[in-house]
Amino acid sequence: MVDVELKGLLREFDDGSKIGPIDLHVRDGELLTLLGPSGSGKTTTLRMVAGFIEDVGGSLLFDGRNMINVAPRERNIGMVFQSVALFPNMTVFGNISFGPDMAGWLREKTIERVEELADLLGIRHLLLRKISEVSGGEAQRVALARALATNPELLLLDEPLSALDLQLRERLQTEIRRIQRKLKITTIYVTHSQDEAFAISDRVAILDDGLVVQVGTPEELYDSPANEFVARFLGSGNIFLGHIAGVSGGNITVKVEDNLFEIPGIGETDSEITFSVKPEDVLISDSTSNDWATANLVSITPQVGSFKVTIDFNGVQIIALTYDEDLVRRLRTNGEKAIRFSFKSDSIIILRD
Amino acid sequence: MLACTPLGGEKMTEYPVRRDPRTIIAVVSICVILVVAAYAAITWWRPRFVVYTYSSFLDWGDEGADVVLERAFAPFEEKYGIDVEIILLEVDANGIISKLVAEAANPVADVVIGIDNILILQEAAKSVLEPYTSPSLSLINETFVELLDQDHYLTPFDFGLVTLIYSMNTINTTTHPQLGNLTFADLAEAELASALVTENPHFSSPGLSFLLSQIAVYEKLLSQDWTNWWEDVKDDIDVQEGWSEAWSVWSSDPNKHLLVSYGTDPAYSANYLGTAPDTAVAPFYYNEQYWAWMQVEGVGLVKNGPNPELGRAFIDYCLNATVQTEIPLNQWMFPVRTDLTLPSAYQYAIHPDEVSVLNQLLSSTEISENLSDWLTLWDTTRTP
Amino acid sequence: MNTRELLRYAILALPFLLLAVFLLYPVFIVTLQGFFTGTPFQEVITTPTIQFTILFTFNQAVLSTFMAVFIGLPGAFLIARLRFRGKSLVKAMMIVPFVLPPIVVVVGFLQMFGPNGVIDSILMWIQGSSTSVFNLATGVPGIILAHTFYNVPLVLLMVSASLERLNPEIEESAEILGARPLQRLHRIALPHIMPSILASAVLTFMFCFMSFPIILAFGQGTYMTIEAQIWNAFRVFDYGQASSLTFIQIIITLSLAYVYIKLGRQETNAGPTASIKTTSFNRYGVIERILILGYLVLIVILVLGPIVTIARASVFDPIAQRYTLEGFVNLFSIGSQGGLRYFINSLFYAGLATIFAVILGIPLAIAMRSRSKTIPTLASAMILLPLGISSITVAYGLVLAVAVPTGLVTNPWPIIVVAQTIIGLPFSARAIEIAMSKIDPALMEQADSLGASRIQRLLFVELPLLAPGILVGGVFAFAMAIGEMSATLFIALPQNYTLAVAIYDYLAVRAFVEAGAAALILVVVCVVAFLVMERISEGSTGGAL
Repeated sequence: MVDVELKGLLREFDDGSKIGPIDLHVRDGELLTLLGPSGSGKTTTLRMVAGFIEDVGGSLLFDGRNMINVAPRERNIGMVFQSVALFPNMTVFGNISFGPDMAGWLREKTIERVEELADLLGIRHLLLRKISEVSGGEAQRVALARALATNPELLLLDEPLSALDLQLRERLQTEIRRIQRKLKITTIYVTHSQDEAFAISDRVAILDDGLVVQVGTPEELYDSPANEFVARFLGSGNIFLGHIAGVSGGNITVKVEDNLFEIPGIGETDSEITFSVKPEDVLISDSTSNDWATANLVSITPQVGSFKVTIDFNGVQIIALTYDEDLVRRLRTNGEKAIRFSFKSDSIIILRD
Repeated sequence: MLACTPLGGEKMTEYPVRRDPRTIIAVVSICVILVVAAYAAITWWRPRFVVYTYSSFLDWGDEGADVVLERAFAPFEEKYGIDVEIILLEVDANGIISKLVAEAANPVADVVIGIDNILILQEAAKSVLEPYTSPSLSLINETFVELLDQDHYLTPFDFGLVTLIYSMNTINTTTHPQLGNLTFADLAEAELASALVTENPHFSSPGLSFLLSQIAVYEKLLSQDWTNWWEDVKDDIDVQEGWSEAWSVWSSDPNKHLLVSYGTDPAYSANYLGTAPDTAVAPFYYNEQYWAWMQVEGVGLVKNGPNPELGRAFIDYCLNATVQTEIPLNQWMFPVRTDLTLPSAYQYAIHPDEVSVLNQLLSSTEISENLSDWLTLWDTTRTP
Repeated sequence: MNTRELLRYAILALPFLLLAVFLLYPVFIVTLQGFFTGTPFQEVITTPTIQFTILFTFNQAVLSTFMAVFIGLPGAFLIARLRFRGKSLVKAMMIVPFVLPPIVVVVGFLQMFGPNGVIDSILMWIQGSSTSVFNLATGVPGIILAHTFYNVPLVLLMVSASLERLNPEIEESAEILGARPLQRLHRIALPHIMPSILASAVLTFMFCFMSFPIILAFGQGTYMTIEAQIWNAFRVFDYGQASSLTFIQIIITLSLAYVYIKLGRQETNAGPTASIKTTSFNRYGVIERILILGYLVLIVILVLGPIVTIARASVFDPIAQRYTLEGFVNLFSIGSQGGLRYFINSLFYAGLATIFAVILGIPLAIAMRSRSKTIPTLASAMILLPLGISSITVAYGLVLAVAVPTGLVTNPWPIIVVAQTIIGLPFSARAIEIAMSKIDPALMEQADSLGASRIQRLLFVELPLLAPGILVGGVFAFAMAIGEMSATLFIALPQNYTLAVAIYDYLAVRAFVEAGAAALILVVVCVVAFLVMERISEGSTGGAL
């Protein structure tokens, strides 16, 4: 329902550290996730959008209106905290109806709205319960219902599922996504879990050390990480640092650990280059007759439908993904340690720092 | 309305209503205000004529202070059309002066009854009173004025002797012959000393009288250091805060026989028993004379009081027969109106004419100059 | 600064202002008077009696503290480590002496240890005597013992609470590593509980140092604390002596308070109570069991005895040696000497004082949690002041500075309410502050994001969450106010007497039954108040200390 724009949003702290400047555009009705490691500033950014941080520089636009000096209660937002923060002295009904009550809605309208949301979130049977009697996953739903009760324009969620176990978390992720889509409410979600971000978001913004490093759909981020940090964080693949030996016809010859690799791209001879290769694009073989690079086998981990093979290439650990059962069987029975590997050259991503 | 779907839809469940604390606060506030208003109304202070005195004032008769005070002062109230409020303070006279000193900036009392001939020697006492020479003084013997206060800060009201008393049921002149001619040396012996109850001279006028008696005897009659006696008895005697406490101890504790009290106590006893008294006095015996301390109590006009004219009229009134006749049986002191007949029980009371008065040994100047030093020395003797 | 902020600052400043007017200003006036009248400071300190008083105040406090810790320490271990039936009841009853007014303690003590008291009567019966043979409720022994009674529970509860927070796994590790019980005690348990021992010792010392009703009752006029001496000084209008002594007293108590605060910071406001490991009684050897039982009997006699025997005090007249209901008859009779007036006064003044203490405690608690650097210290200092300044000086100051100019001396009950409010304020503010600290700040932000205005947030989120804490603070303040004796005694006219003051008077004139009956009423009121408090805070009142 609202188009949110963060322009140069900045918060400086006493010790000199700062979050921002943040530039971000959250489109009307989309679910954008702020993803990053602890301390990267995602919660602070969210709180800046909510209005809980003082002395914020830059501008924050809701449909073009600058909200920088507007109090949180007037921003028409709904928020779910990490600690869920349900009001312990009220019932579930009392919690959900809090927003409407403060806004002075008529009782009938409030009841109607509460019941509607309760139905949407599947907690109708909990309405008269005390908060102390509400379980983990139920609490999150109540918090969500409460946040949505007054029809806010913007929904902010700060790691709402981090306290739950995996199964519950996955179930609720789907719930949240479903509801967000249904209500078409602009949502900013904060998490440190890549899986979660990728599962529910329209777009993801990766934060590192207080700055937005890359914004895009999950696929974009995964396939084309903007720099080494993003690649590493997303586990986009194996990262190699090499030296450009030569350039010719759209390809670069890179020397990594005395081995030469041909990768597509442009570069300058004699300069350093960083590139990443996804596990599924690392080809392994036990044949001794090709000219691939050699490495030592470290371990083989079975996964669902595939095998994760870890090899050691002169001290650098490379993870390869293979579906070749026969190869794996051979490797296991032979006890061979020597392995050869190569890259599918059209899938190499050159990283700029 | 959503709630009223009749077709088996959900009946409107009883959802909790959000309570506004403001209603509770309002209700509580109103209740509190009502209660406070009620209390304040009941105890509201209306302008009256205020007399400060100590709590046992005129309270020791059969009828109790309420009745007696009413009877004594009703004519005054009628004549001047004002309510006389007698405030009985739970302190001995020294405490009253303290209270007057505290209130000096904005006095509430008009008149104070109960300051005696020793207390008036203190500057603090004079500082809260206004001298007044009452025309009613012509009704009484002028020696009382000399004994009490020549400067007329106080007008004499009643008088009596402070001396030792004992209950003849527990000890008497047969078991303890020294009671017939008691000296301080006798008192210093453990047996009698541990049976003695006296009062704190800081806070109590009989206590102070006793101390001054002892000082007078030792300094003037015996030419000895008076602190010695207190050192001798310090472990044995019982010093109570005030006269009421001392009286309670004396009457309830079987080990306490002697009490520093008033010479009229035998009369009280006789009146109480209806026959001869079982309380006797034991005045001090020196130089073949009996000695006791004379106390004269007065009524004084409070300086800057709210009703000075009425105050003066009241002081005059105190020397009227109406008030003075109540004194013997309710105050158990001698009224300064010696022309009035005393009840028969007073034959047993000891009158100042019957003894040598110790006050004459210590002049007023001597007392006022030395009193605080004496008290400090007394404190030191009491320090373990 | 807009009007809303201005209003907020005004409300926060209100308690400071009131304390300045009704506490600091009166004390200042008295001190000023002290410079110009009465004995000068140098003379005061050099008077032998005063020197004796100061020394005595210290010595009895030290001795009482030592005894309280010595007797209370084993009990702390028992409470923390031993499992027995009725333990929660015992723990609950241990707090009762703390909320009892000292003057009531005097009554109970007389009844238990005094002439014709419970112990004396038993001994008399055994020895076949008709006169008193046993009297511990007098002189220095009486004072020390009464102080010990009052403070053993304090030590017991504070130290046992600390002990319960000691993770048993630490001791278990030590045991596995070969440490014997005594070594574990010395190296693990003792260091852990040392801050709480010190804190309870400091509190005990402060209480004994400021002791007044107990000293008056048992001191025989010769053994006095500084507070009792201040009382005397005012009664003979020696302002110089009174303010000199008050000054000495303040210095000492404020230093102690500072130490106490510092100690409070040391003990890490610990983590969750680890699973408390308790042992059953039967696991101990015979000798140990006898010792434990013996100790429990001692505690019961010393601590619970005086409270329970107040029931006997209310109906047994030791002078006439008979049982009678006259005490109660007097208590409920109307009329100028009747006790009903005192009862109503007590409830009314204490009730009003409680309301004010709560109303003022809320802004004070908010101030104590302020993020600024100076305001919390100032607020904490403000609430510690009433505990450290002589309440008699405050009372006299109030009379001088407030009652006299306003003409309230003739009906000084508002001043009494003020004095009682000041006494109760530290307790209400502290309880409310603790409750505030337990509120999750996320709830406040949540309320904001949901659209609640500042006032709505206060009314619908903060107040309901604070309600239990406010109630606890109120009940605490009520118990303190209704038991207040010194200031009330000083200010009140006979028609303003409360039960506490009446008890003192009754005792002075040996009206023991009347004193007992009044004391019993106060005990009942305080115990009920305390039970309500426990109920609301669900057993966490120990933390309010």
